[in-house]
Amino acid sequence: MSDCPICGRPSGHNGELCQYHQLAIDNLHEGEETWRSALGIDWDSYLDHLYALDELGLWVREVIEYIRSGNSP
Amino acid sequence: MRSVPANKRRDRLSRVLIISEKPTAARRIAEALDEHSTPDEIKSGRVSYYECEKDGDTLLVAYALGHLFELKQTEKGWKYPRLSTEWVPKYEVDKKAAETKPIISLIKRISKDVDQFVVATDYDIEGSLIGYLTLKYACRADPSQAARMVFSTLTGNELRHAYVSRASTLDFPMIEAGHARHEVDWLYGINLTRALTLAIKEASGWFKIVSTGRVQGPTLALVAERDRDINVFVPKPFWTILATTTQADKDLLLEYSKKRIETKKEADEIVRDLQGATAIVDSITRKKSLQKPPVPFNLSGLQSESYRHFGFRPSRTLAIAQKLYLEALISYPRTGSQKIPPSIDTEAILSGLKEQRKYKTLVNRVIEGGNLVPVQGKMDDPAHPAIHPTGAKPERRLTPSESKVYDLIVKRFLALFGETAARESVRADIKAGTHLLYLRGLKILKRGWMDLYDPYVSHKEVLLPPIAESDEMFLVSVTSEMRYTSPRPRFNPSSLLKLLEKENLGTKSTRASIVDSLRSRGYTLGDRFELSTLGYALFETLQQHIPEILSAEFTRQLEREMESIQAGETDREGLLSHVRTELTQLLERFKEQEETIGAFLVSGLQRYWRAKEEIGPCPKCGEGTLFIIRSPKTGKRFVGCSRYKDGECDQSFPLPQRGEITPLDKQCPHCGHAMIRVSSRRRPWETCINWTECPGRQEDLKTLQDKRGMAESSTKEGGTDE
Repeated sequence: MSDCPICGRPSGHNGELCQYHQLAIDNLHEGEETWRSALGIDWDSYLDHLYALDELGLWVREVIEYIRSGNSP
Repeated sequence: MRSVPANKRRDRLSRVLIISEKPTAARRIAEALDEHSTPDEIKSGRVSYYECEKDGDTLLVAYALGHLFELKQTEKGWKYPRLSTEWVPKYEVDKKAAETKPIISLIKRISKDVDQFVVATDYDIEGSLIGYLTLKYACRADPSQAARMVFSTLTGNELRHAYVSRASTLDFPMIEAGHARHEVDWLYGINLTRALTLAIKEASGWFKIVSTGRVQGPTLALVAERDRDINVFVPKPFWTILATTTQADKDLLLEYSKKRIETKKEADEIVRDLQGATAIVDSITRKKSLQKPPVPFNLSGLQSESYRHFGFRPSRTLAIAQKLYLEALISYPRTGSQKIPPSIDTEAILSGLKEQRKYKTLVNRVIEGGNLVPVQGKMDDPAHPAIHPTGAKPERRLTPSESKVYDLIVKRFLALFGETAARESVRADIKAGTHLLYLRGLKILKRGWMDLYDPYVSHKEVLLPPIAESDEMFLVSVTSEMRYTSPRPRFNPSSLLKLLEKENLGTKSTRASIVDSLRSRGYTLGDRFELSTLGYALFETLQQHIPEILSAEFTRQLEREMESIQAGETDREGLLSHVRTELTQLLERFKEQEETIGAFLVSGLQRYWRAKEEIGPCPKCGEGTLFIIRSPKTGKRFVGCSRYKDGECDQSFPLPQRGEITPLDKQCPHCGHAMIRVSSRRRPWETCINWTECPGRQEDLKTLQDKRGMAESSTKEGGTDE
């Protein structure tokens, strides 16, 4: 079993991320549709908006940083 | 009170030994029962007991220090499973309990030639068990022959009444329940903690205590689940509409009928429609409501209110309340009751309180109101009434914290006699085309009990100017505001305690310490109950390998079984035998996976320690990482770069030397350096690692230097202490 590239915890059953960062990315994808219909923005603007918010969960923030550094989980 | 040496003790034919729970309680009992209120304090080294006379009898009043005896395994070795226990003096299992040794010796010595034993410990599970164990193991007496004093306050009258009307037998079902609770908690706590700790030791050679227990497990699960939800939270946008109108030269804020607008397009359309429009008052609804006085305090009610108003942790409130109880200022605080039974002389309490200048006016108001029957709550506790003042005047000046809690208890007691308060809420429905807006107001019609509970009640009135149906309102400004959904808040000590009570986890006496233990064990960070990486590692380990110990239902079932022992429906041995069987199976399963569990916990510990020491990237070399380092030479701590060892970077920052330091995930708004939190006994404070140079921190630094300067000059002036 490999380690999560973000936090070093063991990866989950479904991929390379651990169960927590996998849950974070699932929520990130789920929220995209709400933001798209609310503001009519694309994926990158969505991430920019989210990243600026204090309410954003820490693991979602880490996932965004991971994506922005060129990775695609 | 006179102090006389032990060898000059009087000798009488009829001797009664009364066992109390604490030294202060023993003194109060002796003072209350002595015919002249001047009992002798018989000293024996550092400890003592009291001797008094009553109706020709000689009463000896001895004290315990809470538990004098604790459970100990009968087999040797720091291993698991360990399923067999015995009661031994506390100093044998706890090095910090050395002060119990002379007390046990003293009780043993004075127990000879005693005609009757009376237990006068707190009337609850723990108190009853303390009395029983002291009788059995220190006095070597037959508990079935002992009598029991029952009281809820340490006032003279109540203590005298409790002695005269003492029960001829101990409360054995309560003792059995206490016995069972201790053994069950010992079996789970000791064995699981050892299993986890030894798994780490096997995997890494480190000895780091990682604990869990019957109630700590489900509590950890509650915190972990909340923390996980917060960490994976994705906020969603919504818009609110803010409209303002002016009536009688007063700006009024109107509330749009739909609280959340989901798209920007819709919000913009509403703003466009309403901008500059004239709205019409369509209807006005007035609703009068009555608000009864709050119910009497039980322990959790007091802890919650004390946290809300003073920010006191539940354990601190309990400690303060316990002190006030021992000084006979309030009734026994470990109660679940919200009732003041008719047997309590409320008139006497009120007249006692009237003697305190601070409460004189309020008491007069209660008496003038004519209602001397207090409001009652729903929850009951057969052992003790709700927390209430005794009416006694403090014999010393209370500390500021004690004064606050005492004032809260007195004012809550007074409020129970207050009149029902009345308020009127007004909602005007205002229409602008197809849009509906609301204007809301709130007026207190009658304050009633609120005046007695001031300043612990707040109702902000919103008074509206005169408006009538069909009035026109010009919308001066209409804007939309983009907002975001928020996750549920993290627990605070009070909200976690409330949830434990709701989930029926732990007891009123143990919950506060369980809440504290999560932090002291390193499972949570700060008062906001943010789970640490160690907390997550433990949670995940338990979730995967011993899920039962995280289950609230599993613990609740055990609670129910222990309650049925107290009710006399189940026997202790039956429950313990069942627990031992379950635990053995669980530990066998654990042992099989010890290696995997150990490795997992070790990696969690490594991440935890790293997170506690890692500050972030080095601003000087850009490649290294800043860590908190302790100098082996001076023992002082500072921040240094990880590349220092290779001679590549010499970046360092000084750190405050006192308090616990927690790296924060944010930058200083003044200089951009990493921020840290410093937590000591005082309120935690935040600063940046560049605090000695940062332009934004110079004010803090100056204050610190001024304080140091004042301290130094006062030491010099004070002169010769050193």
